[in-house]
Amino acid sequence: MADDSDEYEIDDKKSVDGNLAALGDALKEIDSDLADILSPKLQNMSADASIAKDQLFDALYAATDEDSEAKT
Amino acid sequence: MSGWFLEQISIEGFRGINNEGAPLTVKLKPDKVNSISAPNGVGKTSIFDAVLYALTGRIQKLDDLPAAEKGGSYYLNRFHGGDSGQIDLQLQPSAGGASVTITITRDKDGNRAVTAPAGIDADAILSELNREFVLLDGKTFQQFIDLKPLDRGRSFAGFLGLRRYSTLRQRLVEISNTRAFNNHFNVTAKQQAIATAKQTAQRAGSNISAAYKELVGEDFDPIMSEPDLLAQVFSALNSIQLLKPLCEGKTFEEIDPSECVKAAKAAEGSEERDKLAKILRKQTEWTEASACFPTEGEGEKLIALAEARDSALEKTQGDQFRKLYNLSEQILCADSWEHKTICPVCDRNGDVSVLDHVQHKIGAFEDVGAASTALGEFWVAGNWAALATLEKLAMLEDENPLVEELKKIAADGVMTGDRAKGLVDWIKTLSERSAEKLKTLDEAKDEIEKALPPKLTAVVEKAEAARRLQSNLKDQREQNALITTREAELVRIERVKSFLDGSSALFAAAESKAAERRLEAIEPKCREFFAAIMFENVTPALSKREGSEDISIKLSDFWTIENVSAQALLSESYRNAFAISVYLAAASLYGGPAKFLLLDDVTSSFDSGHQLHLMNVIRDKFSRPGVPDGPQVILLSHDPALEKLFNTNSSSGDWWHQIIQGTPRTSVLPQSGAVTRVKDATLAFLDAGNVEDAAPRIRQYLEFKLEEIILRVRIPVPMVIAYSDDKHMASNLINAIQSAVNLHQSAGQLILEPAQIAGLDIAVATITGNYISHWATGQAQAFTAASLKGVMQAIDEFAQCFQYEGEPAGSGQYRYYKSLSAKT
Repeated sequence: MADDSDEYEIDDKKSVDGNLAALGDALKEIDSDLADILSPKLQNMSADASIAKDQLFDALYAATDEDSEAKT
Repeated sequence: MSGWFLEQISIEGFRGINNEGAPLTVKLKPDKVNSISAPNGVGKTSIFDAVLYALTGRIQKLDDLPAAEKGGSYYLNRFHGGDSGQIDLQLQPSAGGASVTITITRDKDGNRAVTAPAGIDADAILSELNREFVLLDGKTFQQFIDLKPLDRGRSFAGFLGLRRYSTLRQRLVEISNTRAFNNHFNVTAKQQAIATAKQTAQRAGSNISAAYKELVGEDFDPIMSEPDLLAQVFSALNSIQLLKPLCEGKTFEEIDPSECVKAAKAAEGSEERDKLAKILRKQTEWTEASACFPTEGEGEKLIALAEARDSALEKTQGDQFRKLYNLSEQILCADSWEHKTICPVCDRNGDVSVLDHVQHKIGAFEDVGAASTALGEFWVAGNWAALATLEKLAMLEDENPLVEELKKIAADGVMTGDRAKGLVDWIKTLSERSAEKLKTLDEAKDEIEKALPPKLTAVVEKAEAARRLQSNLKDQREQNALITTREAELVRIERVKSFLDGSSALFAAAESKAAERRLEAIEPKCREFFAAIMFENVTPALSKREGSEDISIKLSDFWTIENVSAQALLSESYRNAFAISVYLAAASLYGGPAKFLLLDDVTSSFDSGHQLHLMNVIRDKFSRPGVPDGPQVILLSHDPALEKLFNTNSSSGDWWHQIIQGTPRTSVLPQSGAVTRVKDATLAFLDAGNVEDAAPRIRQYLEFKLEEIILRVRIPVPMVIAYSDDKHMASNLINAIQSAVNLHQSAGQLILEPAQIAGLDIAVATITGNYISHWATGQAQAFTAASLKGVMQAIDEFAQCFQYEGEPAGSGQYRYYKSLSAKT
């Protein structure tokens, strides 16, 4: 869970989706397991779609399960 | 980047445009500056609304009307006979290729449908075009200046090409909100459960220590392992000859203390032994139940915390208001609620932010929450609920179990100060009763022990110690398991929170940097535009606080004074110029696939000089064709002075000007290229006796013909006409023409034939007497169909007075004189 992700910057030459993909990579530096859950939702979140917060929280919590980590 | 120009808009049955069976079709030129003039109430803003609906699917100002006004029912034209409205957008790809027409309809039930030719993804194109740049009006610019820095930053993010980033930033902040997060995971309840379990385990540990000493005869070593403990206590029991058969083949926890007591009783055969065992059990029961008495200071603190909560509660207005304030906060924080000074409950507008007020009110509720949490945590940490066991022992038959009754509300932190006082008094009573009872039991025990042989007394005492040890070991294990489980859950929850906080902070920093970078890029262009509009020693400045979403506006120079407030110093026109300069600069750098802009009445605060400067900026520094990579601009205006300018510019070849005329009840038509259509429609109305719909069209036709004469015969027009009321436009134009004719006649230079000079007076008399004099004063009832037909004929005859027949004679091809003094 090393946090060396403060290098992330929005690249003006990239599309929004390209920058969000790069953000997904940067989030992996914070917590790879949790980034796998949050990253696919970034596009919808940026499009102002409402967030099912409870579902997201539960999914993130489930991803912290040591057993499931061991499997992956 | 590829994009789309707007080639044509067709509208029928939508907003102020009826046009049943004959849609209003406005052709636009991608390679020119486009301008559309119309008097107030004719349909100019309806064009703006139609494009707004086509791109976004809604018209905010209608949706925001009070429910009783049914804003949704005003999308469609009320006079149209059908049950739907239709908008066609004809778009030209900026990269070349065939144009695409997208049709958007809305039916009376509010259902929207979007269609396009096969192979065209209309929704995707409309989504691409739905950019902040496309539709701009005076209100947008006004807001830019008036908004608070945070709201300005958020609303302007789209103009910096950062709308999705700004939205994502807000969503990430939302999901990392500590209050919502902790509520979802019941963090406080979990922490309380751990605190309670630790208290219980600690008490069990003390009891184990005491029982161990009694059973083994040595002090308990806290670092002793559980297997060693069990071995020691088993050995202690097993070493008693009388109990050996009850211990054999068993673990310590399998030994039944009751059997041990029974064995001692059987060996003694005495009722006194039985009594002693009962007394010892009672003593254990009371001692353990009395182990958790609070100190006097803790009692006072409990009362103080409950009273502090009462005090905080008095400043709130109950749970219904809390729900109201929370909902209001959600609405006010939403981007769709533009005016933070308007109350979402009563629609009243004030000088101060309603959001600040609501958050202040919510703050009072949060104080109650904090006081409740402090009270609940103090209750749980002190393990006050454990007193319920003692209460059960010490309570008289006619008394209420107060601890049992209050333990839930105290743990939830909702106990009042009065109840806390009552409880503390009650606990004092229980304490006194406990001390009394233990004293009585001790005396009874001493008395029996004196009468019994010492050896067997010790056996019973050790058996009871074993019972306490077994029971407390079980408790301790259960509580430790619960602590382990809950703490593991909290570690996982903290990991999620840490990730969300980190993600939010990471992206906020990146978004802020990008916005700052882009803001810096637009500032020079903004200053260039502002200087070209205002020509004064005033320099606008934009700034962004590092890491924040705020955008602050200032004046870096105001007539030699540096770094001063733009809101405080600038007049309305300067504020408008500041905002327009910022938006145009942003649009020129960060425009997206929409390669066109509609600007609706954006010059209303300007005098004619600054209007001219703004139009020059748009034409020369911003728009196509002056700036080949610039956007296509479509100006909508009701301003007569601008209309003159548009007319002048339209002769330059890089400007396309149109005038629309009509009413919401009948139809709205473009004048340019359609004057014959207007004439035909007017005559058709008059033939049908419909004077009401014919009269405004006559004005449209008359003004067109007069302007045509002025333009073609090159008649000078005084500037004052530009500032006249629109209803006097026609008479002013006639006066200007007549003055010029009289001047040329006096100078002996007039080219008109004598018959034409005479015809002028007759035509003017008819036009003025039968139409203008009534129209200008609003006396429409004075019109008759027959007299208006005569007016239409007089208009044509008036125009013919400035024309000559081309070669060959008798061809019927009439042309305007080159000027009042020259034929060709």
